[in-house]
Amino acid sequence: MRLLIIICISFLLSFCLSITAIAAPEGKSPDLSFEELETMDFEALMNIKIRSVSKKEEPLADAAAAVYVISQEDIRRSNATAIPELFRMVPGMQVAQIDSNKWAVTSRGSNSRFANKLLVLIDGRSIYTAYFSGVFWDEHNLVLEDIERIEVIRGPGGTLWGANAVNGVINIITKHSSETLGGLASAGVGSEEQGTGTVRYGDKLGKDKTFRVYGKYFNRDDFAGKPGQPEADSWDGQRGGFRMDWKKSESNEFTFQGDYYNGESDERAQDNVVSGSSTSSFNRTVKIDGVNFLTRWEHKNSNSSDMTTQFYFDHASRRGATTKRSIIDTYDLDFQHRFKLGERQKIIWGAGQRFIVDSFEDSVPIQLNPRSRLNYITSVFIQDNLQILPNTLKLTVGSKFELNNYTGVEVQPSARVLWIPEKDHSIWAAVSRAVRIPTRAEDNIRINSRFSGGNLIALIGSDLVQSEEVLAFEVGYRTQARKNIFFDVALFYNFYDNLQTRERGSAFVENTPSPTHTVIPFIENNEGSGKTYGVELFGKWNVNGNWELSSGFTYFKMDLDQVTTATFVFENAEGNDPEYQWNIKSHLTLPHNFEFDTTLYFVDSLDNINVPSYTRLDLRFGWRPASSFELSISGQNLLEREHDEFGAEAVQFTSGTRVERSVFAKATVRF
Amino acid sequence: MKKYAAKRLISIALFAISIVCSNLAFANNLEYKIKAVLAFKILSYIQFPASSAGFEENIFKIGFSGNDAELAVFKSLESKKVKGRKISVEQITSTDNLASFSSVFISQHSGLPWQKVLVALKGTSTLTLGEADSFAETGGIIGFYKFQDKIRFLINREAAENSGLKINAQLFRVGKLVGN
Repeated sequence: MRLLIIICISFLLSFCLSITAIAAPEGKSPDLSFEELETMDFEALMNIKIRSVSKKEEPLADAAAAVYVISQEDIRRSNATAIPELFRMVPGMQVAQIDSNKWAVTSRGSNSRFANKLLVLIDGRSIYTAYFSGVFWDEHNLVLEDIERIEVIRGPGGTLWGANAVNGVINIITKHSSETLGGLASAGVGSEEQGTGTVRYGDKLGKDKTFRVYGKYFNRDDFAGKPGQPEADSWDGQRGGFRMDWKKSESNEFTFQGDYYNGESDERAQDNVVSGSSTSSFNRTVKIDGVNFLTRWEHKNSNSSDMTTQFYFDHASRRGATTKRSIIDTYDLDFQHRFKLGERQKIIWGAGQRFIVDSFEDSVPIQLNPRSRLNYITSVFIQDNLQILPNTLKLTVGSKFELNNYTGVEVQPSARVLWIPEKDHSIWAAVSRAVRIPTRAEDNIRINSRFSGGNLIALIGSDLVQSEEVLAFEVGYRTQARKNIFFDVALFYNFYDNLQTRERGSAFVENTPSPTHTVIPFIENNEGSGKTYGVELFGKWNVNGNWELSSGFTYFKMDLDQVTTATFVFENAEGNDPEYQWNIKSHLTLPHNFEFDTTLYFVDSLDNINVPSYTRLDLRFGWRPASSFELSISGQNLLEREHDEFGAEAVQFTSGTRVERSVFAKATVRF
Repeated sequence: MKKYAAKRLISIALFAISIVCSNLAFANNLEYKIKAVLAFKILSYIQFPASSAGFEENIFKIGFSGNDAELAVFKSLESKKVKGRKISVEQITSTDNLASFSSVFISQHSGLPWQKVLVALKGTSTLTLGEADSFAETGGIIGFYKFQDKIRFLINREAAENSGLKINAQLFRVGKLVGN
């Protein structure tokens, strides 16, 4: 009842406060005729362009894929203080906060802290960790004001982006330095986000160079502990960095950028081994630090041909988790060439080489053998974008070929068709294959999980592990039903094979950790298979020029099979993702530059980890008295004092905590 | 193994399809098409005073200064209406009588110095759009510019207010304010 009242009040308030203005058209339509351009909205014409799906920019409606773009305006008007929070608005994404500094984020299922089928990139730099797979989100607390847009592609993206883009790709694109000239200072304080501050300055260097430098500090309070457990998960850190863009000539542009960060991510952890047969829980601090540097050269040969060469180095270090210390250094060189072939074909091809050097310090529960190792991925890809019928029917086919030191050669092809039967309507379909290659952990790890009846249960890696595979079928439809109404639906049916399982091996006896005991090993294997299917809906209605309503709905179903009989019940993973999710978002611009934004989320239960369904309400009230000054106050999780969003995480033995209600105020000045 | 073979076969088949060719060219004056469409959309976010040019006649005259190809693109707007006022597009060749236009677009290929156009339109309620460097910073109301091969625009709110034009706040979400 209380929920209903709050929802009604929020939306009634939005409605009552709404003032009539000019209807703003919504984004849509493909290629280049005047009439088609006319149907696009501002963002489609100027900003909302899709680089990721075809690795070159194109309007949203030209994308034969399930794409959602989070714009800077979406970010500014969200309540998010960290990147994973932004993905809650995207249909088809599963987002759950594990504790104050950890998130489980995935697309189209298989969620966990180390959701390993989602590839995430920042300006083309992969932040998918090569250790366990997945993303350590606490290493990437970017300055949200510096993000130009985030492209979220649900479904396989292996043809262009390579291994691990099995269920989706997230491409976070930061602003060009010429977009951040001048100064920016922001400060925020709140009940959870207790103190955060950002300073940024950008300027020109001569006629052809621009740059920015920034620094950010943040300090987050603990969430509530699980029942019977204390608070344990505060988070603080700082980061700084720079970006410089040099437009040397009309045909050559160079980018240099880098970041340094460090921080402390506290957590509640468990030990099931050192303490013997009983489980002990304790608080610990994980210290993180890292540095990255990226340089890119964009060269235009002609109006129909251009090339991009990019190199980056990434160093990430974590100390104090169950793995005592992990250091991962990544060196990546990437080349792409785009050109027109004849009058109606656009080709993009490229090649890449990545080296990953890692080093680990063992603990009693987790060991890696060898402790240090060099891994590599060599890749080439080609994709053809063919206009079969101009402005009506487009075919995109291509494949990536990768050589890696875990499984050898991997082929990841896809074919996508876009059909525009009439203005304002586009239908697309795709079939693609993608793989997730094994990680260092699956190959070489030993996890001493727990003592059971005097026997030690251990998970042991195997160099026989193969890549997980998906064969995905997708269809979608987008329409600009009316000038101010946009609707998007995507359906998918995925067949998975070689899914990761842990099969029981032959028991053996060992002396350490003492006392002498029998080890019951579970060996990494690929005996799983299954399917997932679902539907994702998104609609946006520009009620009038000052009020925009949008809504997303997701239905997701996973059906897994396990070939052999192992004690670790593989099918349980079916219960890690909500079957239903929906959200309603209202952005209301009021007179005198006030803003009132409301978002309501519903997330179905996670049966495998005993998380009940929950409804979450976020509100934001903002005021921009001048273009250089902004104040906002926001509230998150307003319906409940605290709630669970995810469960414990077994790999690093962390317990998780309960997400609390919070308020946050922020002031931003540009000068 | 059968599954593997089938998938490899699908892979090869998909890849083979990509070896195809043929016809059809794309329109090449895309830049001005986008600018014309953006200009048209921007107009609907601006409130013109009742005293502005063409208000009583219920027509919306756009003055265009640029080359013929660009003019032809902007002429495509003539079938449309701005708040019920029918658009007409005319080439302008001098700074005389500019106040009779509701809006004026100065292309970078214009034979008219844009600074002179702004001076001639000072004190009128004509919306000025241009694409020269520092057009908006120097008193133009909407200044188009290119950013990484994409079209963006600057808004000079002060210049708009001085001309008696009211800009809907929604436009500030997509355009960048001068000095911001």
